[in-house]
Amino acid sequence: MAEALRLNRGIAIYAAFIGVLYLIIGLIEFLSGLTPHLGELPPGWIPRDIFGGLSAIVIGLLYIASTTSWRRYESMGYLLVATLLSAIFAVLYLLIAGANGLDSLIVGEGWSWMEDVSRPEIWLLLPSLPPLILSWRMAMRLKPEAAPREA
Amino acid sequence: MSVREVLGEEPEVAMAEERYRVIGEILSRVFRGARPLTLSDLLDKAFLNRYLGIPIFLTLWWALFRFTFDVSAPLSDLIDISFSRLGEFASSIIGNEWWSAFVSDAICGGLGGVLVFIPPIFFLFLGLALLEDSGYLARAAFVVDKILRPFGLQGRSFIPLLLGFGCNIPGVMATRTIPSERDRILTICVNPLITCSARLPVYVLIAGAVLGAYAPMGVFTMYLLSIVLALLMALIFKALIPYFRKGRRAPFILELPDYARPTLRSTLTHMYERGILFLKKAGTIIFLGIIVVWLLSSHPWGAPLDQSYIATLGKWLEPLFRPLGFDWRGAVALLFGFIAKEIVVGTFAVFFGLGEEAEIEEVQRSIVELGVFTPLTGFAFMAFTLIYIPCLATIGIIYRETNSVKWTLFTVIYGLILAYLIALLIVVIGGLMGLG
Repeated sequence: MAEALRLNRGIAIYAAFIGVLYLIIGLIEFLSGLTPHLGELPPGWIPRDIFGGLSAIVIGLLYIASTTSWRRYESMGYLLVATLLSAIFAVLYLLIAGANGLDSLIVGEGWSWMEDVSRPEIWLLLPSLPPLILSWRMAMRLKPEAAPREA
Repeated sequence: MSVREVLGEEPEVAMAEERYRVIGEILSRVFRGARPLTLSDLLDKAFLNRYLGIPIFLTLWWALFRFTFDVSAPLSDLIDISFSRLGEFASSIIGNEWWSAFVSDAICGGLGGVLVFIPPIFFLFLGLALLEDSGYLARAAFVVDKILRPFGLQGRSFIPLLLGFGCNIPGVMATRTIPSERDRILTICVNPLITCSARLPVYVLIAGAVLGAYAPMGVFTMYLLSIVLALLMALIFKALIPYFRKGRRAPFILELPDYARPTLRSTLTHMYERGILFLKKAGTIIFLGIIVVWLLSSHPWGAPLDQSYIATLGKWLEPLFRPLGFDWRGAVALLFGFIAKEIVVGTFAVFFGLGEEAEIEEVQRSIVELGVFTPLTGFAFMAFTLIYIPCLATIGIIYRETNSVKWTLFTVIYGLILAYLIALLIVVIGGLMGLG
């Protein structure tokens, strides 16, 4: 079974590409959050967010970890978690955007929906969908769970 | 020679390893072929990875943090505004001035003050239920256990402590995931030292007023001090309090459940069962506390705030705070801060005749012009605000979660003593260094 769970070269390259994208965006978010005096940098659609940036870096590292072990079944584990976190953060930021919009209606303040919805982690879910679907379809083919293990 | 020395490791660990070795042997005899690979095996490759396990945990915590406080914000605002309007309406239809103020400020304000906590608490428990039902929470505890163990805490202490950065109430309530009573009480005792979001406006106000260009560094120092003190106090309590030293510290062994897809019904039930307790238990304490403080701050009836009973109390406390460089206004602000830290900024605004809705810059200007704080005493005031008990609601929830007056009083009293000592140290050492 483990043999069948290896990534093929194409998927591994694609995962590496998405990983690098997450890493770059995460680094920009993190560094611009640390150095607020940078003025107009980064562009408006990348927020200054130290912890959000670190989260994106972790997702990027997971994608890259999946490619460094792409000949072993572990790669599928890293890819599964990376795509899962991509989806969690995309949904989370969409929920926050919706909450901000609702809050602006309740409190009566202005709301820049473009700023909230253009967050990179939201649109990075789209290129993450193919590996997400692929990894989950492969994982679903696994046998039912075994007995609990000890840590 | 002890069993531990003979075995070379904790007996529980040795027993668990032996038990699983025997199970493995039996399985190898009765089953043919390799053990089938499961989804849990795959996910654990990443979630329990030596290098990525902790970053993944922090990432998921950050997502939970944002979900708890950002996504629930409109509901909290809706409750706040609704009760504010209800108060205005009640005030407009009640003729008697005292009853009008009592219903609008104490009852509606008090109820609103309690109910605004409901959305973040329910969202927090929804997120925690999802993590727990999915099987991840057990892994999270395993991953951070090694970091916290030297400080006398355990893996499951991490989530309550980190949630404390948002609000100490869900932080204290989240200790329910800690099965060991001693570890749970220890985590509850140090949780108020984690600086909640309500304390940030106080830091911003005082640092902006007296620290000038060093204001951001001053605020950041409070966050660092918060983490250092929480870990240090856990270590000290563990070393000095017999209750925490009682018995041998059990090794952290847990069976990792398989990952599972959380069901809507189970997740919502978990959220409801834990969240509703907040309403039933803490609601009464917070609500009554707010009414008592309203009575103290608005009586003698019609007198200005600085002649109210609470101001009298502040002036009575002033000699105690003099060594720290705080006058009666600082003492009263700290007293009001006992109810909720959000009140501190408004209290200063009222003192300066600016009204509770004043801009923060106006309040900062008044602090400088009236010489309420020097940079040193302002920094000491920030540290005091960080360390002493965050709010009345937290005291209520500590009592309900520990079910003990002793531990509740202990947390309040050690917080006050530690706050005083640290603030005094800042003033004395800063004074010796010529910082004023």
